[in-house]
Amino acid sequence: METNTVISIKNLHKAYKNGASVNQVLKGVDLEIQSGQIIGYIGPNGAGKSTTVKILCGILTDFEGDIKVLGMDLRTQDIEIKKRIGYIPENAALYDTLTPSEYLQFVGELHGMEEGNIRTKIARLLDLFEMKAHANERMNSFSKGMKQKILIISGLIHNPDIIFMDEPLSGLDANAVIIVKRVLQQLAKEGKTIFYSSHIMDVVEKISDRIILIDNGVVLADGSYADLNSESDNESLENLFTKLTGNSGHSETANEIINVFEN
Amino acid sequence: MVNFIIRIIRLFKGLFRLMGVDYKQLESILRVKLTMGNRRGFSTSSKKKDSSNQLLLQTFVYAVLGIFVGTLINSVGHTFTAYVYIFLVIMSMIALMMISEFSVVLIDTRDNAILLPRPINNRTLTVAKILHIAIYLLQLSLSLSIASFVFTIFNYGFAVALFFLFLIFLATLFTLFLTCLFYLGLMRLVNGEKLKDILVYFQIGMAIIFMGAYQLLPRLIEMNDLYNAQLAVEWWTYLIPPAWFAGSIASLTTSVFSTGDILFLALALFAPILGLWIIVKYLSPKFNYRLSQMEAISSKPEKKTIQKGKSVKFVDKLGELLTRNITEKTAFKMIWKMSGRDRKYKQTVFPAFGYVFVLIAVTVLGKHGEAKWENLIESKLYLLFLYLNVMAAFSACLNIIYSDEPKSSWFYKALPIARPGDIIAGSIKAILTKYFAPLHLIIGALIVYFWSYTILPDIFYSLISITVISVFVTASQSKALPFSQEKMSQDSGSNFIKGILIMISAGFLGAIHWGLTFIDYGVLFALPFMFGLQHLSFRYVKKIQWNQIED
Repeated sequence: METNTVISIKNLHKAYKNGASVNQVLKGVDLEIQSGQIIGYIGPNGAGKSTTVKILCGILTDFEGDIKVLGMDLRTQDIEIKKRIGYIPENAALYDTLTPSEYLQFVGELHGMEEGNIRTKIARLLDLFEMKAHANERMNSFSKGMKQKILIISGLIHNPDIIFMDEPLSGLDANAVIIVKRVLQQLAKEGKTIFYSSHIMDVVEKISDRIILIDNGVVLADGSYADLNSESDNESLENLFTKLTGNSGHSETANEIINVFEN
Repeated sequence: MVNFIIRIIRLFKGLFRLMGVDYKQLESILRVKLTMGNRRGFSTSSKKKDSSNQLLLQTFVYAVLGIFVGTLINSVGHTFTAYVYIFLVIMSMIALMMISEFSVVLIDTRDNAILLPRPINNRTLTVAKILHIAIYLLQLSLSLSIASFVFTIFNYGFAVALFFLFLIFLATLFTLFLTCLFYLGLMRLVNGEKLKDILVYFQIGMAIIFMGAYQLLPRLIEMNDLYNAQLAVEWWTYLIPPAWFAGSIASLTTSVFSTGDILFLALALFAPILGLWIIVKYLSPKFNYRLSQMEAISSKPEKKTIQKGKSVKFVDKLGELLTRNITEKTAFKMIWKMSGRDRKYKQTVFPAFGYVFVLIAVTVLGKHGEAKWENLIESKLYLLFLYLNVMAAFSACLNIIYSDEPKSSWFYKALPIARPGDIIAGSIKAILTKYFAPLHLIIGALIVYFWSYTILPDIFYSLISITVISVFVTASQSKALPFSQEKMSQDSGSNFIKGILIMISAGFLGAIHWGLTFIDYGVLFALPFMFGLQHLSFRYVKKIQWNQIED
């Protein structure tokens, strides 16, 4: 399978302005991502993970730097790019007074899919995700996991080339987690690129071809798990993460917490 | 209703395509947004599909309200003045309703994650958002003006009435422009969470203004004065938007077109169109941008540190003074803090505090808006003023069980609490001390100022007697822990019962109190008895067991 660069980020900067205060979230990120890869994008809270994903999906438009997705400039060809990407956000952002069928139909229409095709896909996917019985219920009564399943379907329904995911497995039951992991691996085999942002290290460790660690708006480490592992005396991803983000001393903190509880 | 609106929009398909809009996407977005609007406000647990028709219901309510507006045409003799009032009322009502009722629809940050990553061009997104708002506004303004339209037909003929509708359309566009400016201004000043807080205060203010206007205006306005009212056209009249539309219609009814009339007409026609152009070109993209930033900023909130200062110590002291055990005291402190921070609670309860004063004003002003102090001072009307406060007490107590996130109340059951009654008692004490008692003392201070200090025992007696009845009613109405229940709008039946309960209780307590005033020192002697009853009422609440608690 031929691989080529599908995402190219050069010197990406992003700041949030809130009144007089400026919060510089991304401070010069450079990345080249090839097709058919599962990228694990990890980092502590506030590192800039979600901001990167939101910029790449065209949600946040005022950034500095150059971004090319699928060979197209994100600033000028965003609509063409958006036709070929899928986004699965972190918090269950859904119009939850709609039913799954209505919502997925809506998403399909926005992607210009043919109506018959949307309906067939919805029926099949809801069935496979064990959501068929709830197809015509309003989603505001759904559990977090059920909503997450709908979000996953809505991000994949138009068969995108790149899939951006922000904590996609949160709230899912064990079976669904296994299914989604297999789906992602299969999609990557077919040449799709998966940009997977998460806190859950062991999932990232298991499914990612390449791991990018970001902290405080800069990339701290970038490579396959094996590469990162060999550079750091065969440590687990969790330990590596701790070391690189400068947050060592977890055992001491844990001991102190126990002390506080026991006294 | 949704299909009907979509069919009308479809008539302009060609025009939208000319504008560079992807019509298919536009229709999808509008259909979904309108369907959601149609389902808004109904039970969230309802699994029925499309059981509601909120849009139609709202149209009907506004049409009925519009009858009052329409009668202005006949009750004001001067045509220009009558239409200034009509446009003023309609424009301010839709602007206020936009801010208070539809801010949830406008500031929907879910759009960021749902619409922005999809291949929708900017023009389609902008037009979809403006159309969505414009549909609501037009629905509001048209239903409000149906009656005025009919009255205009009778008074000036069909042609003028049609022109009136056209002007209503333009006035709506202009109001949309002003509302957009207001939102953008506000969004520049404050971030997401604060914006929501400010909007809640707007809703509270709106509720009080509506109630106040409904009760007070008919008393303050003398019908004869209204009929003879005549607004003179000065240079600054041209700065008042309702005057543009009123001037245009007034000149049409007389068929006399002075330079001033032509200026009115020009302003009425071009200002809304210019406004729309500014919205499409500048405001809407800015609005979308601010909205996309809002979520990101709100999710990184500035640390809000609550200073453990004097006020916290004061609450601690009060808690110690008014409660009997640690569970009750903890509940007291928690509910004291939470009730002041919960938007939903403030939104439901605070208007009742305003209503109390509106009703006092109504009673003082009497039928013709003239306060008769001499009669007032000699009367025992102060009792009515004191017992009107039952409304605030009940509203504050009965709403404390509701929350937008009832699931968060799981911890009550997880904690080793022997008697849930202690929590309920602590919460009622906190609510009454924080909201009802200060309000009662303000009313009391006014009464002492106008009557005499000899009323003081009555003020304290009423304070205690309202406390007693609030405690009994709260505990017997619903045995639920604070912030643990979801509020359903189908509860309107029980709201009605609550209303009746308030009236009966206030009347009953007032009657006993009134009876006591005929006995020398009656109120003073009854005070210890009331304290005893208060003690018993809290004992009754504290005895509530886990098996009596509603899930």
